[in-house]
Amino acid sequence: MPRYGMVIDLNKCNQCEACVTACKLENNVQIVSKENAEMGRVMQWMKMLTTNHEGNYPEIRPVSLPVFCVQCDDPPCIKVCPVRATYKRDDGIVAQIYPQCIGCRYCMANCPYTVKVFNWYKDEQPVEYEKCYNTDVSVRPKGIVEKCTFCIHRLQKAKEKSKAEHRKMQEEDYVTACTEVCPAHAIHFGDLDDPNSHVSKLMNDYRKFTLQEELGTEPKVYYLSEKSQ
Amino acid sequence: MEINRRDFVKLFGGSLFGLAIGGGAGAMLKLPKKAEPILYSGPRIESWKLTACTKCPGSCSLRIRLIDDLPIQAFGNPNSPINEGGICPLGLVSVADLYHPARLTNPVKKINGEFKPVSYKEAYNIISDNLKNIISNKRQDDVFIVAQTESKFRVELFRKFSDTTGFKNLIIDNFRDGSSFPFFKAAGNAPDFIDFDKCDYILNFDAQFTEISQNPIYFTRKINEYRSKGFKITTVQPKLTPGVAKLDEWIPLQPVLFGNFALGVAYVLLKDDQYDKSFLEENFSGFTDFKNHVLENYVPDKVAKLTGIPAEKIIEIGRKFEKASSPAAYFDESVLYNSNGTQNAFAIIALNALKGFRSFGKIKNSFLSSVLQNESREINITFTNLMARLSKSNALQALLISGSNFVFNSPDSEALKKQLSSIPFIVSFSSFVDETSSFAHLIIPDHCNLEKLDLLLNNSMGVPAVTLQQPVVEPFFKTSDTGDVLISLMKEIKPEAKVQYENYSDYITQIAKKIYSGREGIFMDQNKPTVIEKGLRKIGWQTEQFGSFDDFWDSLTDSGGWWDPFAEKEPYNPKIDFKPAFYKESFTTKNSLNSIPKNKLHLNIFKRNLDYKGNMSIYPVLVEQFGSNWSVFYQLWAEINPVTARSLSLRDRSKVILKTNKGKFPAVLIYNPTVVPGNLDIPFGLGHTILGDTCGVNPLIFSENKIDKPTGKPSFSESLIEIEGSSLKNSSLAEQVKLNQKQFAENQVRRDYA
Amino acid sequence: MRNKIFILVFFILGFVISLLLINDNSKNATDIDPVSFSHYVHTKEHKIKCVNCHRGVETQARAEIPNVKICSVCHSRLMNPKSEKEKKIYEYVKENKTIPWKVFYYVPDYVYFSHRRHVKLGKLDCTACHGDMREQTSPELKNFSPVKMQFCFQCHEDKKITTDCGNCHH
Repeated sequence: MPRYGMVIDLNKCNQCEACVTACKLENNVQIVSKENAEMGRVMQWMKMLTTNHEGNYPEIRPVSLPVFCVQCDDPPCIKVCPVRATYKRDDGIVAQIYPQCIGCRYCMANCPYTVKVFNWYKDEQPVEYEKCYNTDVSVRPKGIVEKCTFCIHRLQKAKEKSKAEHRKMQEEDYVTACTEVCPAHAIHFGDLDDPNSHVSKLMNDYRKFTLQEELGTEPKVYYLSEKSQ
Repeated sequence: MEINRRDFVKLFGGSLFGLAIGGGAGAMLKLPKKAEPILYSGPRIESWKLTACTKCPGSCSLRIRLIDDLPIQAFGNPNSPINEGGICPLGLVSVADLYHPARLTNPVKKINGEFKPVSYKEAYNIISDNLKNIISNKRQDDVFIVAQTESKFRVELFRKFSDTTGFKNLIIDNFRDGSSFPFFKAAGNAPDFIDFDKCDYILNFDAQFTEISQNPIYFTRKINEYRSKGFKITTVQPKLTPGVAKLDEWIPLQPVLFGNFALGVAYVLLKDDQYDKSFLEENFSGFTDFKNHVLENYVPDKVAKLTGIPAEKIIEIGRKFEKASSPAAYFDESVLYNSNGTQNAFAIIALNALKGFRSFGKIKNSFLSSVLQNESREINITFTNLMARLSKSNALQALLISGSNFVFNSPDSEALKKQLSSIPFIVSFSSFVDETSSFAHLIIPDHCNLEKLDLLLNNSMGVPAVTLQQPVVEPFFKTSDTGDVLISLMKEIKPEAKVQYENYSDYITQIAKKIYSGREGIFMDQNKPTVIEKGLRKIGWQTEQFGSFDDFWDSLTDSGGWWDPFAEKEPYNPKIDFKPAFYKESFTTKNSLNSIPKNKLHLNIFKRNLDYKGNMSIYPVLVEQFGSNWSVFYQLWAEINPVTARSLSLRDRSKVILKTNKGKFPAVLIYNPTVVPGNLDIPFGLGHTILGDTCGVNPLIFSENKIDKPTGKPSFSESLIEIEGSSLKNSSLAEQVKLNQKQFAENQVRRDYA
Repeated sequence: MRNKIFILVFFILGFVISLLLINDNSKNATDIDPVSFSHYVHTKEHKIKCVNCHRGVETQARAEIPNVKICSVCHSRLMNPKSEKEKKIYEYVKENKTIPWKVFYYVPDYVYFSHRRHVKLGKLDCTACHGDMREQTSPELKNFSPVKMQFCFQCHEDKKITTDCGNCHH
């Protein structure tokens, strides 16, 4: 079974935030109103986080990285869901089932990376955004938790297409939306267990680190950066 | 049966209750309308089409995903050499303005202060009658045309219109024309590109390479390559923007002092005698005077006192510049946003000339140069001329505006609005009623980006690349392409000029024929020809490259564009006539930061990559994302250095009121340790009053009304501002600046020892 | 006691009336079938296969309900309408008007169902879910199989196909 993961090269990233916009448009994430935004309910599956600053003025530099669901191999969120609306699949993706979710938000509290987002209200979406909804992804109603799913709808379509054409699924068939649009080609996505994929080749890089590895969640998103974190 | 009142009430209540329950249950069984997906019963057939993005000069190639022939999403085209599949947020939302509810669907005319729809014929007749009237009264000099478009061929059409009809006052408001304005004034022609492969040191003056530039996505890749080879970039900017945060060295400096700094670096080269003497003898007239002036007035110690940068640092940068074999001092349009912007640009050009412009180049375009004959024409008319004419009452007869929202981008918009109301005839070609077009008497809306046909030429890669912008859908409404209107006007006003094309698509086809006749280049989805094939070509073995012109056009529409990877380049050898006026007048003689009154802060306005020319409020996705890196949404924010803020007793994330001479405005204060102490950084792009509600305020409202005199661009960083409720605790702001310099020097010493 | 009976009667009456009024599945025949389409005529007499009109069955997620474009391939202006029912389709073909079909097999937004997977890869016949449409002369008033998760799940369990939630709900 493949095990899907991601490697992000922070030395190439220039914080243009194209990945953030692409994820929002691909997955029909809601745009919130002004009142909800003030209460901190803006929904972004992928955030560009500025964590700290290194050095003294004027050598000071901000450290920014895109943060989204790191698809842990030992996820804390699935252990507390009372209805099994979130669970880990065999191919490593932590899936989120919207009709099953009851909105108790226990998984949001348990996630150490705080990447789960809740639909507090169903705001009126602007017309120009509603007409551009992606028809592959469902639109979530009020009261549902959602998060990055490594664009699992694209995986289904890629599997179907390659089977219909009687061939094996190649690496280029299934890429997430953020990987596809990055201008600096800083995001790499693929099968971590396949020794020939370029993601596993990048795993040998000495600059590799993950977020909060001391917690034992075994995340599958790795970052490459020359500076120490 | 008798029923008393009480029983009746019970029965009535009971039946209502039953109805309610039943109604609720019935409603649950019915399908709610909101849950219906779009394209409810259609077959959902997916198709892909190629087009180009025109939001910035980069002209990346897009792949549009259509479902049932309606555009849904936009992605990058992996075959294009410019963007190689990558795309920035502005390109990702380019589908949204097709469906915008405020988009104008017909030509409209202002009747009694409101816009009422009229037919195209009527609107066209009004314009042509008016213009013919003006020509017969011989008042062509009182008409101004303002055009902003990223397509060079469309600019060429505007120039032809201006020449044919005699309306000579044409203002082109492009990024590229702004960047090349100082080159034209100094040398008569501008370089086409900067060669990252040849260059080994870049001294960057406030050009945000990866955010707003001639080709942001291409520059991102190239700078990553350049730095992986070990070469350095030093950037001189007033603010550390995110795209620049990776570069090797940042020298914080207010933009008014760029010229002084550049000449201080030039002093080092002149004193060490390490400049390209042969180049300067041939191409730089007035060099001896310039050299003497610099050696006398720009000694590093003097420059250090003025700018606050230690003299050792200036000498270090000078030495790096002279040791590199082909360094570049790079600037673009953003350096003009100061009151002495053009002067600073001249100083930077002189610095480049000392090393012979080795990293700059021009393309030898034999067949395209016959089309773009007017590209190297000097830019004589800018916004300054327009403002000067507007200040005299009743001076202008007509104003044509296409694609520019200059009322939003100008510093003194109140006065400008009053002046605009006095012009008797204003025509706008924009698709929305924004700040500028609300003053128009007649609007003929333009097609949206996905409905147009156009060719976009981009030379900044070092080779010519032409991307084709194709219509992805039939036009939804009764809009019309501006090019068609102009061509019909040209033919009607001056039929003897014998315009050779019927409409804009005809014009584009003729340009494509010229490219076809050159027999060079490949389409974007073809592989580069091998070296052997290229060698055979040189000998004279002509392989039949394109078939007939129809085959060429079909391949062009299928692949998305054309480029020539083996185009010949030539070095940039301008003949600079460096007049004494360029360096002798109006460089700042004192640093304004040294004498800021108490409690006031230095206002610095900066641009972000999500808002290129001030028209971002059309897209709700971008409006929400504008402040997301600080988690500030739908509000104006101001960034301040924590040390400065604490000395003024202001807290992080507090809601403050900015006190200016134009009123009081609310904002959120953010602590950002990368901000220069004493500065208050405010982003540009919020505050559209008419189109959408982006909240916040346009910071140009409360900046002082200073402009760069030759180009008319507003100054972004020369005003003072005060925060209400701030009280100076211990040190004054001048002491803050001294602290800054001390830290700078300390870091210098630490590095020398390390 | 009598009052309570009356309240109960009116309650039930109100309930039933409101259900009847609000229920959307109208049984009006012309609403469902604006052109009196008969599957029997097209499949048995003219021997047209399912795939010829519902063209998306083997290549897409949705098999389309054919509209004017496909009907006009045969019912174009060159042929003379013979019966009353054919005249109805000519009215739509003449003006290129979209036929307002009513969708019965409506799969909600939060489910992903792909005809291509089931017909081409799973080699299911159309009759397994839609019944034998070849015998019908008038439009059907209800679904042959309910569009419910139990129906899909039963088949998946019987034929031992994956029942992973994330494959259909995303």
